[in-house]
Amino acid sequence: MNLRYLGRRMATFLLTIFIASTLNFAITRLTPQDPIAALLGRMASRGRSVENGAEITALFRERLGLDDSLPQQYLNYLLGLLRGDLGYSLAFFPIKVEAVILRALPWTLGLLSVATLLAFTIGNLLGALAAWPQVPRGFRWLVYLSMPFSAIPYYLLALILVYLFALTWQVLPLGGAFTVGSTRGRDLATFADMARHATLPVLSVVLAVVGFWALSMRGIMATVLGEDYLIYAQARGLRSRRIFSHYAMRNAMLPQVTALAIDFGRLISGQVLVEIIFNYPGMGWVLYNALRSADFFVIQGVTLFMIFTVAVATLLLDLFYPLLDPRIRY
Amino acid sequence: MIRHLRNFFSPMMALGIVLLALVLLPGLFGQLFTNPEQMRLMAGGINAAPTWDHLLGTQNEGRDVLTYILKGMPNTLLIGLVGGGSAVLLGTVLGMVAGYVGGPLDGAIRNIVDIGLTIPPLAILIMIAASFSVVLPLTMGLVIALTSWMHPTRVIRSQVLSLREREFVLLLRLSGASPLHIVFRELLPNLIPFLAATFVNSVATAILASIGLEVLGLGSFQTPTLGNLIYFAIIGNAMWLGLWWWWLPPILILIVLFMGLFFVSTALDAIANPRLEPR
Amino acid sequence: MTKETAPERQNGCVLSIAGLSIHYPLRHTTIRAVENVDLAVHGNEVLGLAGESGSGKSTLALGVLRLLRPPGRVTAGQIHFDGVELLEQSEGRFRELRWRRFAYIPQGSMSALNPVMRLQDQFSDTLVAHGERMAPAALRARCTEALHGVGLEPDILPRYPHELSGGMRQRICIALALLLGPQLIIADEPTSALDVISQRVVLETLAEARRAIGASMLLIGHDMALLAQVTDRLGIMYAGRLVEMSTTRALFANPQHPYTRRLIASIPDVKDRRAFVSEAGESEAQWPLDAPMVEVAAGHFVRPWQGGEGSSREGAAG
Repeated sequence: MNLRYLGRRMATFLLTIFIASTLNFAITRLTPQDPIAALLGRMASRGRSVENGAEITALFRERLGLDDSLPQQYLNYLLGLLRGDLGYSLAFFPIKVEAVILRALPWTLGLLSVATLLAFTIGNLLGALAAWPQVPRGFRWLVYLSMPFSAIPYYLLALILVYLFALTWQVLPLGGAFTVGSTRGRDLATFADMARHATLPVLSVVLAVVGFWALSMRGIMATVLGEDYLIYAQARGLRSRRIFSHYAMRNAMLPQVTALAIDFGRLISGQVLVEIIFNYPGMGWVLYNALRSADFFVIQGVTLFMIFTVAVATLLLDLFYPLLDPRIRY
Repeated sequence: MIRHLRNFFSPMMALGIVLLALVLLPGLFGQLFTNPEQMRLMAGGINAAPTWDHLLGTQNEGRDVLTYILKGMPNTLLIGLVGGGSAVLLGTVLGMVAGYVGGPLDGAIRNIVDIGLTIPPLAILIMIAASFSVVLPLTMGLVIALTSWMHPTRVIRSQVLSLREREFVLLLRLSGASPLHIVFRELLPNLIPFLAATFVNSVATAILASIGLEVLGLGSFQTPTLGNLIYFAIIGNAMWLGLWWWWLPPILILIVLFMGLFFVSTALDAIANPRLEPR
Repeated sequence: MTKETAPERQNGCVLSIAGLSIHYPLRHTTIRAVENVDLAVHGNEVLGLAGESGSGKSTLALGVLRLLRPPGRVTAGQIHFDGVELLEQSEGRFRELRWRRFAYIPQGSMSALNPVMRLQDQFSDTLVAHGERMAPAALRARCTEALHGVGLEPDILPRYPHELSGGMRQRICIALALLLGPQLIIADEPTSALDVISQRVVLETLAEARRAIGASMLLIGHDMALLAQVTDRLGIMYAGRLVEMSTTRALFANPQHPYTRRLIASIPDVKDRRAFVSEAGESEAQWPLDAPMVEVAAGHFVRPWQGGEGSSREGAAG
């Protein structure tokens, strides 16, 4: 891998982060709403005293740096981002936004990676088998069956799954990431409890995405089946299973990996909404609560986190891609 | 021509059109039969199960759910049409300019699109919706279009790139036809199947995004939409209270709508790229 | 059933094809890619098959190798290989025979190798598929031997196909074909994708390597000049049928069928640059293709054409 490519790719990555952060700043500062006023309004609606409202406002404004000039605020904001400083949560004032996000991060990343990995593996295998001539025709119906699911938004599917599995049949928990009040340790019981809680959120993502991967894999496989190297492998007497895995699948996976990078934004957006429905204590849930309490800097932090995660994921996929395709040399 | 028609009405397309009609017909005309009185607070009992007076019962403010749905569907569809339509319009113009003109302009547009594609639209939409009060479905549609024009631009650009090397375009250029004429009178008609497929996809994307925002509580609550209905159902614990008539119908309608859009766009794709058709 | 009209020396005959037809049934029509073809490849012999693209020569090779893509299939005929009727073999048994007993050198050698797999793994896959799983050292020795046979060094083994030139890739395919010591090599235009200089080198490599293991070869091509150099006998195919079959020497010395004459005339001649023209007054549609072939000289068979000699001769049909 040469340094020039690496440099260019890093520059694009940083530019993406920079543009997204600037957009984020601009949108929040262009708003006619005042986050502090919104907070005070919320306090008032809860019946708290707002007699010294002016004082509180001044205090917040000072600590949040809202009285500086816009360019100064922008500079402070960017410098803060560089240090990983996202500001204060308005709802839990002295707590910093990055602390709130860090607490939610493992849950989101865990759920997201398990769901994506499962959906990607199952979908691709399903699609590849559906296109393979030796596979019985009836199998293809599995792919057709998975198609309609891919058209349904995750969160709608999630609601139906909650209704069926948690409310009607009561085989799985309604929400949360673990049983409240249980002791959490590094043991099997804790793990099993967490897995039980993660089942429905993961299932709603997997069900919705499997069809998407299966469909596109089937299309790519149909093309790969006509490739010379496949016929030549068959001519050499290789066993069908070997041809399927190391000749057909191995090559058909390449465009799918690229597609995964493009699709990451959609995945993380869907994940955020699924977490809300399952009260899963990840980023989506943090976002939802922040939205309901007008906790501006947390909202900003979570959206920045979404953008950052997708940018990192695409960067990693781009850097690792040459390992999958030896023809690509940067 | 007849062959074209036969290709157009594949079983997939027929299924998609039937599903869409199931949603669009009541969505467009259903509100003509609604009684505005039913939308009022306490038009019926609170959380009342379906009766002949209230076919889909009432919600926790006593509003008639069926009336709310019939009032809300046009708004949801409008957001989809405005959002998807504007995104495709913007994408078509940019994609054609980038693909046909080429050079630094193409480079600039391509870079912006590449960067834009890696920024999740929902993240930007959340910031916009949380900072401004987006009131009308029309504004909501336009805002969504602002975050989703990149994909259409990319699709159209690559199509134009392959078209412009075709013989008839080279001949036109040699014969001195103006670029505008070539792009809009000669290239555009060739792009219609792609535009149709992209449009259907974009409408689905726009509706998906709007429902996402509304489920987050970022919709405008003055306007009835299917997403708002779901949000209020979640807030009102409709599922936990067993009020299926409140939360289930909007979800089922959306599922039918999305499936219809999916089948139509898949069928259009097959027309635009004939080699994708299964053997 | 017609008797074989081609010379059939049962003794030492490696491959014999009788009445072979391969059809592609489509929705509205059926493409008869190969129709009622008889031919035989003898021990240690190079039989050439020439004809323009679409004449069915590659389809014939794929049919023998059981590599036809649907909807193509063998609709009639027999394929005898060394005493075994290939069309009657089960899929599993056929898989064992193919490559160990008769190997294949593909047309598109540029894309025949798996682009994401190291060459050594593609060699090892071929060996493993035929029950020869071996230790790394033995594998390397085996591959080195095969590569030396085609003039390549073993240091290319850890490389990927795209790192090699077209000529080297084609030689890899030759080495793979010789790996298990087959009795017959079916080579489908093995040099058509190469530049003129590589063509010659690769063809010489192929001829030498074949001689070294004493295999027979069915060599398919459209370049009459190249075929003239390496084949012992030559068959001419047109529209799915054989129209002429003879020793290479006799075929060039005394071509009979107008199509053969046209193919020979198309060879660029350094001394006498003739344009490639069809003989006046002959339209292809008039060539009858269903009449049985006749023997015009010992071992020289021709399909009669309108107005041509031999149409009244006693055919070999029975």
